[in-house]
Amino acid sequence: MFGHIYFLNLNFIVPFWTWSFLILLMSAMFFIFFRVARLREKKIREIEATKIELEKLRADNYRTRLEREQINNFFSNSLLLKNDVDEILWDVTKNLIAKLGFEDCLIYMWNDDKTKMVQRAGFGVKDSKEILFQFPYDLGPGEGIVGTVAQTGNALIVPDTRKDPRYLAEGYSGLSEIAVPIKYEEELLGVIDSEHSELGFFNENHLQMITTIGTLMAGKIKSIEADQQLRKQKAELDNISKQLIEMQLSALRSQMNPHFIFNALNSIKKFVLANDAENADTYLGKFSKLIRAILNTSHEPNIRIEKEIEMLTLYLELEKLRFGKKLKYAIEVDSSLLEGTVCIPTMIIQPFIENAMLHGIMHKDCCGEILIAFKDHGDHLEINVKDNGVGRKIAAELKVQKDQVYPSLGIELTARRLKALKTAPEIPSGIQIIDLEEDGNASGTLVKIFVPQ
Amino acid sequence: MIRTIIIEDEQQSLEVLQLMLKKFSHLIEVVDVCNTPALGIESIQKKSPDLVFLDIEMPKMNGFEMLKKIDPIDFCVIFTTAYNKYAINAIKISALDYLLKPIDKDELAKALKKCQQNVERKNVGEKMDILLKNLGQQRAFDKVLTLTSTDGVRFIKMKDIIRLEAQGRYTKFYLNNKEVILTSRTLGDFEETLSANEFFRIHETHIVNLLYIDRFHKGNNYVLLSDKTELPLARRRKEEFLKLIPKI
Repeated sequence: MFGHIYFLNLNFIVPFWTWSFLILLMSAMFFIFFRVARLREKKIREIEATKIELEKLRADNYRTRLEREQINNFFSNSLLLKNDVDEILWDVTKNLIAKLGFEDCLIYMWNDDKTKMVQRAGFGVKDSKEILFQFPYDLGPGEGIVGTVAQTGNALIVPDTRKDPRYLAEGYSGLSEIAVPIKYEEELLGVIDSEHSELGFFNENHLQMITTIGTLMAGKIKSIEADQQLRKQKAELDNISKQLIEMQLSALRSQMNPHFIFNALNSIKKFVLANDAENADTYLGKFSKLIRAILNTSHEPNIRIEKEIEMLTLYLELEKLRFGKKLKYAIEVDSSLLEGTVCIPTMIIQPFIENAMLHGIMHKDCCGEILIAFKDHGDHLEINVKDNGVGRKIAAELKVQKDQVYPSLGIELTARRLKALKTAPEIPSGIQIIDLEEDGNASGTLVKIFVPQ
Repeated sequence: MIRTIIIEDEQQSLEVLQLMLKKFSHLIEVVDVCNTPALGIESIQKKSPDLVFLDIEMPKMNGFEMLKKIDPIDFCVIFTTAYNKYAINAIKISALDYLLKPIDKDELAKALKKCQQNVERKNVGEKMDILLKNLGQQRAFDKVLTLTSTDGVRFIKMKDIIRLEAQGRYTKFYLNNKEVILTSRTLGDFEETLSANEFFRIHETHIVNLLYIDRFHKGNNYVLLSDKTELPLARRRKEEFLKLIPKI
């Protein structure tokens, strides 16, 4: 059983053909379209805005970077021309104030033993460009903001100095402060410091800029220091080699005293004229031996004691020929000095012997004596040249001619040469001249030469 | 015979000289030898010699000081020394004689010959005065040059000499008072002595006093003196001359 099927007829009469409906539909469609268009437009504008914003931000960034770059360039250029550390420091302080609008700027550097930060340069705008040096002070590590930076090696910005317990109000005080280390490869050289009367004046940008300048400065300072060091070393070396040449020349000159050479030749000539062939031969032999030894050793810095004694003996033998019986000599040597290889500087003793002869013994009527002694004192040698001549005072009165005055320069050079041999400050070195006296009368001269070993 | 005294403190040198003089025994006679200046003075006064060989370097009193104590000096003096640049230059300027040890026999002969000629002996006293004065002078221009010319001996202050010019084997001296003196020595004889005293040989035939150089033309290498003479500068001397210029 199926029930009855009822058909219900529903007729929708859509009045689409009516104008009102059409208009309604049209306006609805138009509205929707308009809305969508508006929405899109807004979105595009938003995107545009962010784009512009972004551009602007980027431009800003470029500008500061450009500015920073310019300032950096400025500093690196101006540093390039400087050859003096102080000049650099003053230049940087001055330009930081001029370029960054700071009120003051101070630069501290380590003192020589790196215990304190010392104010080396400083300028201020506030005090009508008066140099802030009127309050110079040194800071130990940890003292004040600068001291803290020196200790930690990290830059500090203090927006409000009143609230920072590390702040030391001394001299000129501001409300905000920045302190940036000057570093060269982790080594702290100094601190750039600035204070400002505005609260929170200093920003990251300042920090970056000063850090860059600090690095530039550090490099330059280091290169100047290295340069100066090099120049100093070179000058020292030049000086030493010049002195050495001078010494060698003066030594050579005094040993090769033409006086001695011609007198020796004259003495030998006598043997020839007197037909004394044997003596002529002997002394000509001695003379050539001595001259050869002098020529061979004059360019060596040191000579073995044995060799030196041999040369002195030859020299004295030849002089004895000239002075005859008036001259007696003796050479004493500690036996320990003859073993091994004890050396002394070349040509230091002979000038003193010659001096003793020309100015001491020559003016005596007879019995001149010269005693030469080499004494071993372990860390140094003592060489004595003692004569019983007329003494320095009378000799000075008697010598009239320029040529013969013993060069005191020679003594000084020899003393310097001996000093250079010192390995420890307490070892004696140099030359000591003692006027000998007997019963109140001059009885000769004693020269002591101390040679460090 | 030339009566001679030797004053020499060193036995060796004395013997050398005595041995060398033996060859001239036909000419001279050694009347005394003294080994100290004091003995020398005594001997000179006693024996009035014609010639004295005098060592410069002697104990207590040197040869020059010894001469200061003798008046009049009417004998020839030949100084002897092994080496003494300063004294030798002074002796040369004063036209006196000297011998360098070891003594050369030719030079000894020359010196003795000179002494034989009386001209040399006449003015010994004056020359000695000049020598002693010159020894005391530090500055070159204060020294006095002794010239033997055909007219006799002349003493001329160094600062009065403008220039020297060679005339064959003779030398002409031009002085700042316009005087010209002809001497019988060659320009070369004067060169060494004068070079040590602020003179310079600019040319084969010219020595000039640096004091009188007015200008130097670099272009044509001429030296203009303050008396308006123009002299050529030898090319080979130019470098050395230019080194001296800043000194003027």
